[in-house]
Amino acid sequence: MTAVSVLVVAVLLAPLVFLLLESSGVGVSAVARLVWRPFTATLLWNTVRLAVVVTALCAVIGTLAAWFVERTDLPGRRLWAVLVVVPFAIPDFVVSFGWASLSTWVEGFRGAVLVMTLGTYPLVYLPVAAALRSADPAMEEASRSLGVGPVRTFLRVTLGQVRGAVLGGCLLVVLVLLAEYGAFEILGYQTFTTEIFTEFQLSFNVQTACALSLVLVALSVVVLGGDAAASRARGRVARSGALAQRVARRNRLGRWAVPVVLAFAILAGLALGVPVAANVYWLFEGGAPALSGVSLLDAGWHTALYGGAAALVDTVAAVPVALLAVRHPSALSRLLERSTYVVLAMPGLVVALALTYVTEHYGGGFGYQTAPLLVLAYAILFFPLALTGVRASLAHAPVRYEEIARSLGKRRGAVLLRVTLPMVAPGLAAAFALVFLSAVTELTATLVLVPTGVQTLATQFWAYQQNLSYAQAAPFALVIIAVACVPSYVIARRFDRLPSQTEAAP
Amino acid sequence: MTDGGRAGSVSLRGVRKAFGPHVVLAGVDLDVPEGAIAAVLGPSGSGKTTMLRVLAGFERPDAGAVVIGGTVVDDGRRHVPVEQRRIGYVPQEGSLFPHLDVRGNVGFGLARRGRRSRVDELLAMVGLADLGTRYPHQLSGGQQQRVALARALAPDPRLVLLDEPFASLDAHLRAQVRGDVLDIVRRAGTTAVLVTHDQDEALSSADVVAVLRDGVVAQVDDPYQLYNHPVDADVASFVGEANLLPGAARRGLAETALGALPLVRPAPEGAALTVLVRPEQLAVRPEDGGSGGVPATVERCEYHGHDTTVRLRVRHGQPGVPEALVARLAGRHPVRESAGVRLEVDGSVEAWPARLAAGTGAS
Amino acid sequence: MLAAGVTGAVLAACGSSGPGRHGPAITLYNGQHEQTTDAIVAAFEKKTGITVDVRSGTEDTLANQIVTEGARTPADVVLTENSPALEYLQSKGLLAKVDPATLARTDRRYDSPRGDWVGVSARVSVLIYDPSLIARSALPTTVLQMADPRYAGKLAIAAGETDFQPVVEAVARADGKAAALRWLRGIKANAGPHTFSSDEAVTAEVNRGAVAFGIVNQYYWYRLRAEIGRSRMHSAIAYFAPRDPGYVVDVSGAAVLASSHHRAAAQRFLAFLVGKDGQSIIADPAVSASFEYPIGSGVTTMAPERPFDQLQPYPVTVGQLGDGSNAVALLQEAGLL
Repeated sequence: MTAVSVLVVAVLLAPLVFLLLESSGVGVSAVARLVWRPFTATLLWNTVRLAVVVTALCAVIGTLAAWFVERTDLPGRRLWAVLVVVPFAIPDFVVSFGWASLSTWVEGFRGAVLVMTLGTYPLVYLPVAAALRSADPAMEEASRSLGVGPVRTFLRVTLGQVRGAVLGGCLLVVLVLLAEYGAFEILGYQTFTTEIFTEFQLSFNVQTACALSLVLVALSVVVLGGDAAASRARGRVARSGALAQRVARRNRLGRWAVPVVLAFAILAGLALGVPVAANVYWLFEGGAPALSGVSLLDAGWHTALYGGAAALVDTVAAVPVALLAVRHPSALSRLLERSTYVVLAMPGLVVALALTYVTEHYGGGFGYQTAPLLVLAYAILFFPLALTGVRASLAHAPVRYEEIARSLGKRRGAVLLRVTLPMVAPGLAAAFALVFLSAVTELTATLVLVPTGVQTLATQFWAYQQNLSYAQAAPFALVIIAVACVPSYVIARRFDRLPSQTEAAP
Repeated sequence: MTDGGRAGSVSLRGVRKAFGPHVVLAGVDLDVPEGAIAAVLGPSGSGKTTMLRVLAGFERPDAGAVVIGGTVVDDGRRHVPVEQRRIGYVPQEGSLFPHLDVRGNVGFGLARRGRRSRVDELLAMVGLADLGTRYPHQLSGGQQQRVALARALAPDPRLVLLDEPFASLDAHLRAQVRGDVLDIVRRAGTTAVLVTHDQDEALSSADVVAVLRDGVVAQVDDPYQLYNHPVDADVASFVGEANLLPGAARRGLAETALGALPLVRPAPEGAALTVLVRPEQLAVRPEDGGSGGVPATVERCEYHGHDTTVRLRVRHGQPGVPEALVARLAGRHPVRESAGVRLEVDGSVEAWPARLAAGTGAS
Repeated sequence: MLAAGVTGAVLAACGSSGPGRHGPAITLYNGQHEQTTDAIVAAFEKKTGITVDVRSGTEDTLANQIVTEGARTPADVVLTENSPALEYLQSKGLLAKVDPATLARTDRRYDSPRGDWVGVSARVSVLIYDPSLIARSALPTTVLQMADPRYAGKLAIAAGETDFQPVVEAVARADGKAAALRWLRGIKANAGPHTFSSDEAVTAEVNRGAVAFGIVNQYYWYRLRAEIGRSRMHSAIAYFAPRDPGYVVDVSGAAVLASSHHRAAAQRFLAFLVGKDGQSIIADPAVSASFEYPIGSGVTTMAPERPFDQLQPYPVTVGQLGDGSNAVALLQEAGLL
């Protein structure tokens, strides 16, 4: 397992080696000149204040939404469980475009806060919902029995139980914000990353861009270090030793049902309704000729194929790394696990160019601009998302089930297939969905590595949007949203259909 | 590498295990003959669960050897993995696989061929034939434990390990489930090691009881020997209630505050002793029931129905006599709180040389 | 891992455009707007029977991608929106010489000075403004006035857009670097939050009334008008004074890669681009969705209403623009990048 994990991490960090190699060609003074110019202070300030505000908002919205869906009798909660996840799948450039065509208010800092919060809060929602589903309800019950009301129980007990999931989600939000580019470009908000891209585009200088990307990687290492310190301070997740495996009783909303449903409706309206409405508007109002359905179908099929394959690869690859981290904690396994998060901060373009370099210079061009290499690029870019999902589930799945299975004569492989994986199935589903949704919306690496002549929904949307052909771009945006709904729906339904699996982790 | 043991016999030889600086097992030796039910009794933190996990193969010992059925399964060089040891393991919470129904749980360790009939057989054995399609969260605690046992027994293990399997059951269920489960184990003829901190459970259900203390086995014996002839005062107090009195050996008797008592084993003349008087050895007579005996006052009565536990305080406090004594009186014995009584000791007593620290000087 | 292997095999089977095609084929790395390129490629394939595999992206990424790919690049032809990307590839020695006959079809001013790439179409920088926010007469007549404090909060720019670099270069040539730097600082102050990364954004923002005016290339305004209809256009365009440094023509161009194994077919494609067929497609927005000016084979257009030969731009050549690094350095020093 260690060997497999080391292999996975080695593949993930290969682009970093490319970064280092390329950067070494730039003089220290050249990088210093770029990094220490006055503009950098503005960019850092922009980046940091955005990260702080968006992360805080995501933590609050994601956690509250998860609690209402998982722990209350919220009317229509199955529907909400799907709707609150979908916004993550809508490309930021589609959201920004939708908002920008609606109101002039949405621009700059407030625009970036709005769009990024609406686009990334599912990164907190998903792990928190998974944690709540497997968290021991006995503690909440104990709290209620001690005369503590539902709100204070939520604050004092439930939050403590899901703290790890909240912090894990926030970590993802920060890293995604660090690497975000498309939305800020449309909104006119400048961060360190948009600046790296500008630099890259204007100076035609891969080496300098790589050197600047290293600064981004360094920033992410700082964030990871902070998170590691925070997680050391966290307690372990404990469960009472009760025999009975019980379902969490849902809190009754009572007269709060209406305002809460209203809040969910507003959230879905902002995150989902605005971009959908804007695209539907352009679909019917635009003047350009309609598109042939074939290319839409074709792009949709390829998008789903690549995204699905990357999600599968990542979900499978995340299992050994998560197992090592959770079941065999050591300095090495912690290092392996945490180092994978660095890739989230690497711009997709850099990863794509790294793969280009490797295949062209060491691989004789084998596989270059073929589907497997594109899938590998997606798999590298979004691996941390898969790892987060699998790891959280595994941490909640007690090791004794695996011990029992082995005592019954099953080898490690059989135990993994028949006990561990079924028990972490919700986490695997979440991992698959997160990677799939991210891959469906990926643009920069796709443009470099997609097989020549093939279009994905994102590249096609981008091509039309670049040309201000909103009417022709709109159907692609709508299909992206539709494709993204499928995994969101599947996860939500899966959780509902398998009570034994989700409710009975003791 | 065999020591002539039979299929399900168990031997631990000098087993040591430490977690970091914390030594949990400090050289455990234990033998359980085939087919026996052995209880490992110890207070929490005594290392009994670690011992069980070493036996199962979940933990590797730092030193020593583990022998099951005459085969060395762990001795520092070789380590037979859990899945090849042919053991059944029943943990404290039952820990049924939440994603499988009862049949799926019981059949988990079985090959496809013959699984169906074997599962039927076991479900009938544990009396849950009609609950095969239920999921764990739909079962009561007792049912879950019986399914867990059926699951452990299904692959016909040579050894069953039970880790406080009844601790989390309600008191009224506990005795019955325990009886049922151990009956099933006995009928299956499988060797069993039961870890518990409940001395009643150990004494009533095991053929052999091992007392684990500070990482070593303090005593292994059958329940009768263990209760009546503990190896030292600590074991005596841990296994059942004990009145420990200072005394001195005089002419084959132990002279104590409760009189001169006959010794089970002779002690050197004049030696300072710690004397064990079990509660049921204390005879309690009404004060007006004649002379003789030591006067005492009843502090408190705990009425259990089948017997009564009586807490007493010896009057005319003499040096060296513990303030409180405990007696157990059978059936409907009329004793009232605050009443004056006289105490005598029935039968001979176990005694050990008094430890220096405990020496209160009865001479 | 098995799953990964199977997936890989399936993907390899259905991912790429695949073999089984007849006749010659070339690969085009396309940094131009996709609809324009698609229209030209379709006509070329029909006429010659040569298949063109089109790979679209932003020109700067494509240029860097070609450099990273090195001698093994799958690209035979590269087509960009602006000349600096081609000049960059030329500086890396990656371009083959263009057939002299092809170069002869366009004005030398709009080709690579060394004959490594050929100009295909041209665009001109203009002001886009919202008449309800600023009167035509109040607009700057020279680009230098854009730094005037009276335009504070009214100006939108896309400093990172490659279309802006020629303007910066022209100002630096006209007034010297120090003046250009002061000018850029003034622009930065005036634009404030209305600093965008693309001309599309500037065009859309001005048209929806978010900001009074900005500087863009003319064709963005025409494309927006074609897309949303005249009734929704709340903006207009205005030209700078003749030969003002803000009044700059820059060109889109194409080149054949030195590493190409299909040079003959690739050169034919370039010839087609600047020939009557290709230029006529560019001239007809109904076909190409392009509102750029054709510059070869004598083809003209009325799609942008002011004819190309009536433009009076600042005299700066594509060779003088180079790869844009001078302009980028100034933009960085001014804190706009």
